[in-house]
Amino acid sequence: MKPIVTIENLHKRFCKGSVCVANDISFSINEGEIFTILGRSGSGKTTLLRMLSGLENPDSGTICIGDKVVYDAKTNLSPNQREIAIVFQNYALLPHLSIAQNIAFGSKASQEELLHVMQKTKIETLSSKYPHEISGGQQQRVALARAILDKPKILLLDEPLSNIDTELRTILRSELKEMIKLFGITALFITHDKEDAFYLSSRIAIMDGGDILQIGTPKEVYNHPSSLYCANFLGKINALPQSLGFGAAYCRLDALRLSPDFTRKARIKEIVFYGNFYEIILDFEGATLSAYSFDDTLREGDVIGFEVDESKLITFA
Amino acid sequence: MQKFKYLLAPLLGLVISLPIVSLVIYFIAQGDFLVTSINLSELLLYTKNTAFVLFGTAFLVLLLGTSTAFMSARFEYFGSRFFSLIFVLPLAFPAYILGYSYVGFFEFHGILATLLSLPKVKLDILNIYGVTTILSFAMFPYVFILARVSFASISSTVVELVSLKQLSFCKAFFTVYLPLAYPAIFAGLVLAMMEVLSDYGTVAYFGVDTFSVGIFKSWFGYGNLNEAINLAIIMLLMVFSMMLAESRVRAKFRFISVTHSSKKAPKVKLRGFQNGIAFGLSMFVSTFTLFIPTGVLLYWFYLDFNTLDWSSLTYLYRTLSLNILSSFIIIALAFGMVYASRFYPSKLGIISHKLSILGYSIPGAIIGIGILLFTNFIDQSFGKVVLGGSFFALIFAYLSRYFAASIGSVENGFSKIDKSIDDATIVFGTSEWGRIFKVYLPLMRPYLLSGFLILYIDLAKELPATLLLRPFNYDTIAIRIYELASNEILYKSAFPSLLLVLTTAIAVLLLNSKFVRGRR
Repeated sequence: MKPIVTIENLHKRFCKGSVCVANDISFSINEGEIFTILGRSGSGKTTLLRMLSGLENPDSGTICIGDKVVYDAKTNLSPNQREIAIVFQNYALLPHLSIAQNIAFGSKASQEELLHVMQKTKIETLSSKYPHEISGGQQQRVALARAILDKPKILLLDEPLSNIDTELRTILRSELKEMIKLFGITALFITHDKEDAFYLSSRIAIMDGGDILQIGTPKEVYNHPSSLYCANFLGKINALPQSLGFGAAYCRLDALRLSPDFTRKARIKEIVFYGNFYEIILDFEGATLSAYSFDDTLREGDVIGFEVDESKLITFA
Repeated sequence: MQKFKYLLAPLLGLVISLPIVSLVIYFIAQGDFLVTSINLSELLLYTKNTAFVLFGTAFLVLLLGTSTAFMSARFEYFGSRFFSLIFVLPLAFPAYILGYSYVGFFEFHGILATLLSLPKVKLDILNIYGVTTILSFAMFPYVFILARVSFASISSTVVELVSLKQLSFCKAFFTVYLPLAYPAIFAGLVLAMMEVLSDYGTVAYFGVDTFSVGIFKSWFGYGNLNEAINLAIIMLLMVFSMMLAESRVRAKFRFISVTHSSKKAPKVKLRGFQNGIAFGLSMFVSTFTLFIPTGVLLYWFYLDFNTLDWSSLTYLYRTLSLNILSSFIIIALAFGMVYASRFYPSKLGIISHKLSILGYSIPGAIIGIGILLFTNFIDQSFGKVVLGGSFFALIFAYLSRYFAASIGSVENGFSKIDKSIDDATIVFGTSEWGRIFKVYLPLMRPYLLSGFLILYIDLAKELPATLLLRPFNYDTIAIRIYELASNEILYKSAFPSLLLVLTTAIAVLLLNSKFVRGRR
């Protein structure tokens, strides 16, 4: 696949060099994919997005968008010359402009193109309304319509799903995916939420302390994390005791199954109820292990058997 | 071009602070540090009087401002909404007009004597106690406005805690509510004190020689510029110490924001005897700070009705045109400064921003002298009068003195605009001017309007700098009132005073209205 964005050796330090927010970062984003930068707050993901968009200048490195070098030692194109668009965290709709004016803001698109985008994003009936008169979901679609009107090479999504309650978030997330697919856009999605990342992404890059730690498909990064940090960040893991015979290995909770076979047995230390499933915390020879279960007959203190799915073992070099 | 944009805010700040900078430079250059040019007995007199007026006014302003603010913010009683508005209105009165009206009220054959049918009854208020009381009547709204906001923002959990602990009203007020409002009260008090220090019209009329009177005496009376500058520098030091004290208090009470949550405590509805007390107190304060002076002006206006001097309308027209033009220029520059600091920030910009707002705390007389030094320097360099006695010099003085009043409002407006809006305007490719005219000016409209109104009120009341710098034969309505009162034709000053107060009262009411406040 043809890369739309190529970033090479991007470097950036803040606070007179004491904080590194981008440490020689290199990666590329292919045409049509939703590429996610996943990291905790302060990991440098937002700065990366801002450097890509031209809102922040790197210290060094190269950024290419399409066939154009937009940043290197000699070139530094302004944001409006980079053929990018952003959907901001709080959508950044201009409160004094109507929805149609917001979408057309700064655009050279024709009236027909504007109408087309509004129809596709299902907001054509809102054109004369103002941002405060529409719902959160509608605001997201307006922000998306504004971003895609000028057919950017890449759409940058700056945590548009954070600060939204869980119920609405699920709806908005699926709408967002649907729209991105509908318009066939290449997107860079910034988030700290692994669930959003898994749901939306073609590929995920895990970032921490200005470094990209791992890049891969959602399944790859979940099942084969490159480091203990990545493994922990993407979900709970069990550190398996040496006595189990797997060496220095780890496994996800779903890889440790309760079993009627008592070859390996443990005592139930605690049962945590999560609504549609239980997390069973086991005491195995003084080590703590966890597993998921749907069985509501289990009781704390019970001794049960368990097995480990060896195909899902996680080991680090 | 891009580099120039980063220099815009620092340059603007430097230009605005030029009068103060030139004053300090002149003071250092002349090398006479208070030793020879000031008469020691005069210096002692100025210090004693200024200290008495400052501390006396501070005490009364605290008493009036805090009590009215607490009543207005925490209680609902008969007429409470009406009084909330009435307590703000003394801001529309320049202190000297309040002074003139009270002198007229208490004089031989004055209004009080007429009301009591005892023509020889007289209360002599033309002294330091009188001026202190009058200044506190004029200045208490500064504490009232800020303290009211603070008292009204006290969280409901704090009030619940007070009731759970069953604290008495006095104990709750002095140990909980009052300390929570300390920063606001102190900020209001410092503003009031700056105004007191800056006042010339009232103290001069009451014959109390404070530093600002001393500056005028040295400059106009004795033609001694050096003495005037030395006095100005002493005043400047007093202002700095006040600012330092304010920042210390602000730092000490930084924790207070924690107790001001979004869920505000509801007002307590007063009934029976308590309702009567609150109404009585409010009526008492309003009578002295607003109803009596307004009544006096209206009575004089009635006496003078058949011989009204309609030229007052010309003075009003001059004042309006000068103030509107000046306010427009100042607010535009404040917008430019905040915009430049936001989009093109620099360390130099932060320093010069601080310098530029210094003027608000510096008396008009000092700014006036600073401008005179600057214009004299320019005139002497050209060998002819270029800037001296020009509108430029006067508007420059207004700019230096009141820039902080406008920039506060503009900064407040910009702070409400999310940074992502800035990014959106850049990413979606509008030009710099497009950004200003299509996004920021429309979004900032209510804040610019409130900044404009604050400026208008301040400029309309301004006396010392206007007296020093006005172009020849260009008297504003404030100067006309001052001249009439100085010539002891008090009743004749009623018509121009009412005209002036009417325009400033409209501005105060607009500023307090939902039209401006509600849209912010």
